[in-house]
Amino acid sequence: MLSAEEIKHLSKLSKLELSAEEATSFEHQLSSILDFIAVINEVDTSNVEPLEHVASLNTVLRPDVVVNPINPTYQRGDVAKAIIAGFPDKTDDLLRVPAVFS
Amino acid sequence: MNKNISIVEANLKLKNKQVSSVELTKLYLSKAKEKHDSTHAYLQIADELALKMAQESDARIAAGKMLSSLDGVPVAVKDNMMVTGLRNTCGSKILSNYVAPYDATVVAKLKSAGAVILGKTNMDDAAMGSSCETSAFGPSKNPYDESRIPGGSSGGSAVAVAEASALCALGSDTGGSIRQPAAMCGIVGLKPTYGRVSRYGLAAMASSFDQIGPMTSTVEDAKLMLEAIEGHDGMDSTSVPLQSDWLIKNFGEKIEGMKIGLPKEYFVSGMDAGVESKVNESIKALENLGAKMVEVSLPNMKYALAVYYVLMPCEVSANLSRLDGIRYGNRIVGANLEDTYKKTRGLGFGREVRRRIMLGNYALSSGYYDAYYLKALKLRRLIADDFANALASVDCLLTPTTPTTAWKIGEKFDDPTSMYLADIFTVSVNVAGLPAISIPCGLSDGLPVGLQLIGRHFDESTILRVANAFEKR
Repeated sequence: MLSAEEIKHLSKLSKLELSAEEATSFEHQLSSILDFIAVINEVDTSNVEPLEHVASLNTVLRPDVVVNPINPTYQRGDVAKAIIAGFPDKTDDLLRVPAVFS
Repeated sequence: MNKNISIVEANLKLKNKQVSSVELTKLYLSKAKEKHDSTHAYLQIADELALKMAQESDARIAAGKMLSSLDGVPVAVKDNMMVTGLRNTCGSKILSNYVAPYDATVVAKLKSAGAVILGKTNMDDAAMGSSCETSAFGPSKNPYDESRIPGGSSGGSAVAVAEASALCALGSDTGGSIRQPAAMCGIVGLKPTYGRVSRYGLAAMASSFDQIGPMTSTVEDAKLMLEAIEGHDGMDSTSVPLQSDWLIKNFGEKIEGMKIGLPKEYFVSGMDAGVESKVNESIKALENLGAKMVEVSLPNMKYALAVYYVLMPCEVSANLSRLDGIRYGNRIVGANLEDTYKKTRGLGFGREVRRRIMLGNYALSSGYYDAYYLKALKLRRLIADDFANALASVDCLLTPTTPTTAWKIGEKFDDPTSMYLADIFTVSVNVAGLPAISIPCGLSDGLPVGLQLIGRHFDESTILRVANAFEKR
């Protein structure tokens, strides 16, 4: 059973603000999900290698050069403009963010 | 249920000038608008874009320059795949006003094929859910019974194809999100092999599970859409170059002599009697077509749901950390930076999303990583091996897609583990990265039942062939 302290710690790790009611209901719900998951402990996996990639690819690399976009439906400049238009807060073309250091 | 027309029929009518793409597109757009307040399949109906694309298609058709069998065909796209200039909300409040700056590769491919994009369809919040109820913009409803869920998370796309407010659609599938709503709404839904279709421009949920796939009225349509969107993409380092013998072949061939495996662990009690009866009828129908049923065993299958609900939240917690209100999306300003993150994410994500993020962070955190994440990765290998062993002696596997038909809206809403059980037959497929298709196999008490076929890696040919033979029986 997850404690209120653990929920508080998790919400901090997850950078999520929870209401008091949610924190309590999450205690119950997350605990029951963890109970549900606990079945994985039944299996002996001491000689099993983890499977990280189902398509068995190794690290896929390419040369570090600028390539034209694979899909020809847009120009790079347009994408940049659209991204800037989507900034939550801006000054000219620069993204404004809350101060990192107070 | 209004019968939709297929891509094949539409293509014939367009070629023979019996209908224009503009006429076809207007029909679907008007149906989409008519049903907006009732079944709510769409989050954004893109009239202007659709009509412009339809006009361009008609010009090509008139000049005898059809680009493909999809030229002029109206398609709906789930709202987690970027279409330049249209919103890409992922069903989530945090992205309610986010506009896509570029096309997903699958969208670019559909555009190159001449398809017409009708708009973006509704989905569970951040693709997390099996009912389309967690969407921040209101649920979609099952066209067979509007008091019931259409399934999720690709609920909107399933509804659109079922009610004919789209001719065909794209969905995405991480643990069943194409196949389960396809089953609930009586349509065809295909999840390709992991790596077959590019994920570039698909909002990542769980990166080692996600795949985009077609949702259509017929199996042949699913094949045509797959062929239009598949292929290696330099922009997605998890996409796999397709070998020539992986391309779809033998599609219309008979299935006499083929061996279909029935995993005994799937045919256990707890399944709805109506579903079981339809699946048994389907098995007989396949035997009448000459296929041979073989009992197989997947001994680690009972761990698949638990493995999925460890690995998926872990990957989700990492993928959703980019949604912080800083560079894009809705920012809720707090007292300081930390507070801004917490408020933006706390208010921007629904409950299920927040539950899974926290679960993921728990399983990845120091002290728990080995017991949960690493353990689940090892079980993942055992599950994948089970499938490989079973599929070595048969051509494909057959299971029900879901244990029940569509339930009532609100019935399972705040009961996470009950909701998770809806995916019990679909998640193991994503755990192993295999291809799978859900096809309609009849109604139970007026509600659709889906049959699932699971194939070997990159052997979509076999499951499409069997599904097609079944559909045309």
